[in-house]
Amino acid sequence: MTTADDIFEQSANNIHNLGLREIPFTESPTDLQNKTLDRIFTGREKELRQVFNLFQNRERRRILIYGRIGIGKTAFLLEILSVLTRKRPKMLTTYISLPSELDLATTALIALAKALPDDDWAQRQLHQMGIPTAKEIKERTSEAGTNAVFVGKFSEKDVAPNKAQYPTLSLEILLDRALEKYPDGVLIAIDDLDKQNPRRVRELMHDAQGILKGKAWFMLTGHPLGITGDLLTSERGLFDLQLKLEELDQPTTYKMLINYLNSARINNNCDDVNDPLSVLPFSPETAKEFCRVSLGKPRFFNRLGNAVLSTAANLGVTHITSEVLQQGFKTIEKDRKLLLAEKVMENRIFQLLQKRGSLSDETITIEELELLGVKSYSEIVPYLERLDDEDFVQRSPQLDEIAYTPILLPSSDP
Amino acid sequence: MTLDWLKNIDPDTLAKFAALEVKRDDDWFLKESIEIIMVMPDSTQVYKFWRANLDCLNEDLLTILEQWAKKNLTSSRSKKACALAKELIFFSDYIDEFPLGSIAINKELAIKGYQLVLTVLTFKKFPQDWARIQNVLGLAYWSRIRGERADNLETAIACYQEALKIYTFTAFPQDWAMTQGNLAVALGSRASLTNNAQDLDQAIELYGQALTVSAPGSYYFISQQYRLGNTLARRYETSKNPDDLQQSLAAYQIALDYLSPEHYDHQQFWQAIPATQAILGSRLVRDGNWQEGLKLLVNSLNQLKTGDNSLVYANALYQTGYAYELLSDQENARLYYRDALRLYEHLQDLPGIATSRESLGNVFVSQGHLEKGMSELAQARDIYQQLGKTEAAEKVDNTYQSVQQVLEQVKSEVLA
Repeated sequence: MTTADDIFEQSANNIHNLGLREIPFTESPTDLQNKTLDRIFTGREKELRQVFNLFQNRERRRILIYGRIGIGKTAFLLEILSVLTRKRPKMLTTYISLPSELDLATTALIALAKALPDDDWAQRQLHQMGIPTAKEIKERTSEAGTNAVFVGKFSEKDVAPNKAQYPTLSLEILLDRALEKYPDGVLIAIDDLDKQNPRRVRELMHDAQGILKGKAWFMLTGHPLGITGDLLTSERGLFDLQLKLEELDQPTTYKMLINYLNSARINNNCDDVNDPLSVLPFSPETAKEFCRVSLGKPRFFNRLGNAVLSTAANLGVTHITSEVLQQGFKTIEKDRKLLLAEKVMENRIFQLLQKRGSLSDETITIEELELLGVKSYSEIVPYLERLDDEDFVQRSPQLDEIAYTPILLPSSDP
Repeated sequence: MTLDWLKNIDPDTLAKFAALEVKRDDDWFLKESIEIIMVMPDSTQVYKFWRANLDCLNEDLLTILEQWAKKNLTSSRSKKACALAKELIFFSDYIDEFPLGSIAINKELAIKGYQLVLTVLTFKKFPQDWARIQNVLGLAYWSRIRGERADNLETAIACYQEALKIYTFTAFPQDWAMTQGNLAVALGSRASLTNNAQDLDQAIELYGQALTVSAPGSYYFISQQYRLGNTLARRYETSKNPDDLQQSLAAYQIALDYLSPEHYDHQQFWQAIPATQAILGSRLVRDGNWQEGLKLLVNSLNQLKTGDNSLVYANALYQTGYAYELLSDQENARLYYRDALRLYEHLQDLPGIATSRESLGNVFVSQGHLEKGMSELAQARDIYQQLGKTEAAEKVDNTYQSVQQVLEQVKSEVLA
């Protein structure tokens, strides 16, 4: 064994000392196996009920799930798909993250074609778009004889890839083919619209009105900034259900922590919220503090969890005491400071936020805007959104203003 | 001669003597200004002189100017008088543009100067100069601060019409086009005061005529296209004729297409590109072309935010808020209306404050924040009343009353 092997073993042992096989926290739910996601997915009962009620209906539906980045939209979407796969085996479910350069029709076509690996026509569509398929696609040429009886000789050569000219039409055709095999319907889930420029999202949505009213069920995830009011109103909008995902409350976050830890625990699983064993290697006090600091934001929760457990492992401890927890927060704070130092404008805004306690479009003054080098609050909203996405700030719940407060970790300097 | 005798004078007497100011002629400032202009025809030196003697640019100078003219601008037959009159034209041009001191007094001095010039450079003897003076006198009255706006505009219109007696299409096509354009501007301004549709119609016709002559890509061409777009858009507000809107958009687009870096020296064009984008954008949104319209509006904001004209930026912010309101995106509408309001308040622009508060009030109401909405609407109504805009005040008050009724109904239902 090499020194590197030793270090690997030591690293694994440090995690085992905490009673865990691995660090269960991950910021990307798509990295998880379905079974693991099912174990750790927590809460959102009301929202799940709203979605599943719709699926008791035969009529095709369009569902929009929106919320801030990191609020758990992808996990929510994947959990629904996982349940439907089990409960509706005659329904085809597909998932795709929206590629940056594609429209919704083409994206939906790719998702559906990938879900039909045995359909030649579907695979040809992929091949024509230059997307790898399971089987190589060959073109057939023929040489026909001139006599009355047709005598053909077939040879095959590779097809040169082409772009799909009519993605909407191709999607319709493919949907018809899929519905023959899946009589309960086809659900196409398109994720990560919120990673696009908000203006592009509006354009995508408007251009996709045709396919969204077609033969498939659609579930899309987005970001409030990218969604215009008209899409959110069912009178003239595109969606039958618009679900906003908010931060989880503290009891749900605590339960989520239990589920995460149980998914990686070596033995002695316990999911009784009143039993201190359920949150090991945390104590109930440090678990509660951890959940409080995470603010019910799943991605931030995972980020913090990673940092805290990594710190605990590096320290070689078996329990996460208050000191270890603070040390974990300090690690994250250091990373945050480094990240912020590279972004001049975000840094300036954050400094002002820390000083003022909050910033809002209602109360900000011209002088404060001048300090930031801008003339309007709308100029700093994109920066505030980015700070929100990176968990430096959070949007206040007031409905009549756009206000932000800083997220200060307990270890932060005043 | 020696000054030894000074040593024998009593020091107190000497001090009193030294304290005596050298008495100058009353018109020394005017004379010196004219002399500087005669030697150095561009404005740099005379502006330096005026900056150093700002206290001389006062009301008294108007009387001094008249007295000087009585003495010097004696007759159109006198060569000296004619020469001085031509220097007085420069004086009037420069004082009209001078940015320091009291702008109102500067404008009065310019007007007085031009009027005095016309007593020497007469229609009969100097028709081209006369026409030029009538044109610039029209401009001076159009931008005059004192007096009643309506009267000033009437005088401006009369001046342009006088100039057009000499600046005919056949004899002086470019000057004719320029004056037609100026007349159109004055008519447009009069239409703002009186809501006279005929003035707008005439202005549009005049722009059209002027544009047949103005060289494409020239300053006047672009300026007239832009103004034509504005006037057509204003007519559309009442006519609701889609042709007006289409033509307005076309005019703006032409102005934008012709704008190039060489035009950026003109202060107004530097603002005009994004300002025009903002107007074009808001028109497109109203026309239902939301994506294109919003794109233009956002582009215009990106440029205007770094400019030094906060009022133009405030207007563009307001238009963007309006576009979002049309798109039913109330949160963004509220955000941009608030931004516009903040700037208007900073600039103490009452009409801007009123429209922003009115729009903000409407948005609050549509979002269900009735009391907040009513507060904004009440403030808007009060400002409209202050501005004498009774129709607007009434409209807002009607909305306020309706919302109040709804609120009372809601409250009584809650209590029940």
